[in-house]
Amino acid sequence: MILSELSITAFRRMSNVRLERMAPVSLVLGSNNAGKSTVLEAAALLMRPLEPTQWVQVARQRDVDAPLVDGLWSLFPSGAPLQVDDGPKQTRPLVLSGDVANEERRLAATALASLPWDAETSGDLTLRVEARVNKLRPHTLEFRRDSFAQSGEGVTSYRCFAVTPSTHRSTRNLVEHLSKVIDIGEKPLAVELMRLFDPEVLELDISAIMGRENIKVAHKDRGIVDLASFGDGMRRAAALALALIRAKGGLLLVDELEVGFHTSVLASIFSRLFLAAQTIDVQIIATTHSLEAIDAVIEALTPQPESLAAYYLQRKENQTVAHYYDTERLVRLRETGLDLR
Amino acid sequence: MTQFCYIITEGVLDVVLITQVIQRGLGGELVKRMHDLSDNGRTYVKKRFKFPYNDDITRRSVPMPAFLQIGQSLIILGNAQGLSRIKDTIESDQEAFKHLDWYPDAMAVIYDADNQPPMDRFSGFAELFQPYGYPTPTHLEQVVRANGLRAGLFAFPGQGRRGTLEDVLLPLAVNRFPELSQYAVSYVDTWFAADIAKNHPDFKELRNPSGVRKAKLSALASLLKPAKPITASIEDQKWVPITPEESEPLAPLVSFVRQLLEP
Repeated sequence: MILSELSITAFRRMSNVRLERMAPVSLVLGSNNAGKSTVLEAAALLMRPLEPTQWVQVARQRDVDAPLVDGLWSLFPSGAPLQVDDGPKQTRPLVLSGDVANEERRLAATALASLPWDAETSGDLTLRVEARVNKLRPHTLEFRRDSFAQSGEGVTSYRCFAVTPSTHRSTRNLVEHLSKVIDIGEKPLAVELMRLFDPEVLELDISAIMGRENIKVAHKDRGIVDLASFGDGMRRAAALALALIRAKGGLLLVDELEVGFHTSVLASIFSRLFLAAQTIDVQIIATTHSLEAIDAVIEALTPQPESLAAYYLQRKENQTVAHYYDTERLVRLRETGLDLR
Repeated sequence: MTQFCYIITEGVLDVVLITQVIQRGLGGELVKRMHDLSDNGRTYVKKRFKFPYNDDITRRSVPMPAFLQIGQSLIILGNAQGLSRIKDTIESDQEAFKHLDWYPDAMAVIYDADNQPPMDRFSGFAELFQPYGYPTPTHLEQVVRANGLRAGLFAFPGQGRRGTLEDVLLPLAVNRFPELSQYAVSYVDTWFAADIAKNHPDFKELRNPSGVRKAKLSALASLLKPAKPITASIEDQKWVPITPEESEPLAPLVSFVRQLLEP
């Protein structure tokens, strides 16, 4: 297990939240605005703190269309919108820490937003992020509207992929995932995982005819068809399977675990997903506000109670409190009817 | 008066009797409609109770507590559905209160002493309070106080005696329906003395320690409210007198609840 503890000292609106005793599957629960997605974003940054692509992914996870620098700015605990009309603006520090691959890791970063000398012609804002991991020299990441540059020492990055509620609705995302899976020679595993969701799947491939990229599925009943022609569940299954493989040996972050699946199949899908994750050594952190999903996760992991931890995030006077539950307690509370969403 | 008091009992009969006592003796009003509860009260109901309860579809109802209002104060009077479920019920309720950031300033557990001295069960229940920040009760029927919080334990029939809730209900019934009680008592005693009741498996529950008392109450209530649960008669036919504190079997309970509600 790659991440056994996560502390969010200052990140977005969240401060001083600690998720201890994380398990191979950790569920993050709580009402709207409690900070569930924030936990996933914090985990992703801590896994790959000096990877500009990771910062970009995290910044774009909530809004793919928002300007990159604004998305990045909102990761810092300033709260105020980005305005540089009256000069450069500095953020308050973002601080995350945790136990990553059995080593203490602490990320502290600040960002400086400014208009560069060529701003009049380029119209670009620049965000310079100074990130420091443990006591290593600070690392500088510079972001503009659609580009980034970096300099500084390296820090080990661990595999970490996120599946958001919209990942499976983007053919571009899925093609990118499958391309990488093919590149690393893991396509057979992808097909195997897809078969767990639909046993009639025979093969997966990418077609690129006249610039139109698509994922093709060879299906026993339907022949060779576009993945997009399947329902939400199949595409979501593909997104989870592909991200799971890319996260091999690392961390899979799933925002809204239940999305795309009918409640009647949640338990069987989750038990297959968790089994696959265990086989290729992937830790899962997932959010949900579905009671059916919570019960299905409990059902899927009842034979391995040590594999599950849950955290209920509660907003309390501008602070977030994380309540921890082990499987035994989770089961007891659910049996007596407590709604843990 | 308290702002928010949480009392957990063993079963629905306890809830019905204590509700009557609070209504009659302390001027409490039973909240009957969901929309008359506060936001927190409504969210607690939605968050805490689901059907089927404990995955059991043969139970057609969920163990909803009674909500009683006295002025601005609220009492949640819960039913754990059995002695062995008291601990889990408290855990679930307190977790719900924590999620709502809505904490009772008083907590009590009311249980049956049964055929053992009530202190035998005392320490097991007393240790349920501290994990939720309440002071640990030190004596039965005495409310302890610390940091603005109150806690207490009460064992039916009260005053440190062995017995059950039925030891309170039976004298109330005798008082309210003297002639009918005589017939009911004599009817059950006659059967209990018969050989068949002593040996036949059909009478197994009658032979339980509180079986005869329960049978006498059921016999009485079945004439008052035929084919209805005993709770219907207790609720509708005023088993609890207007001044429960003056009733010998109820006085210890009234005194305990009063202490608990006193800030």
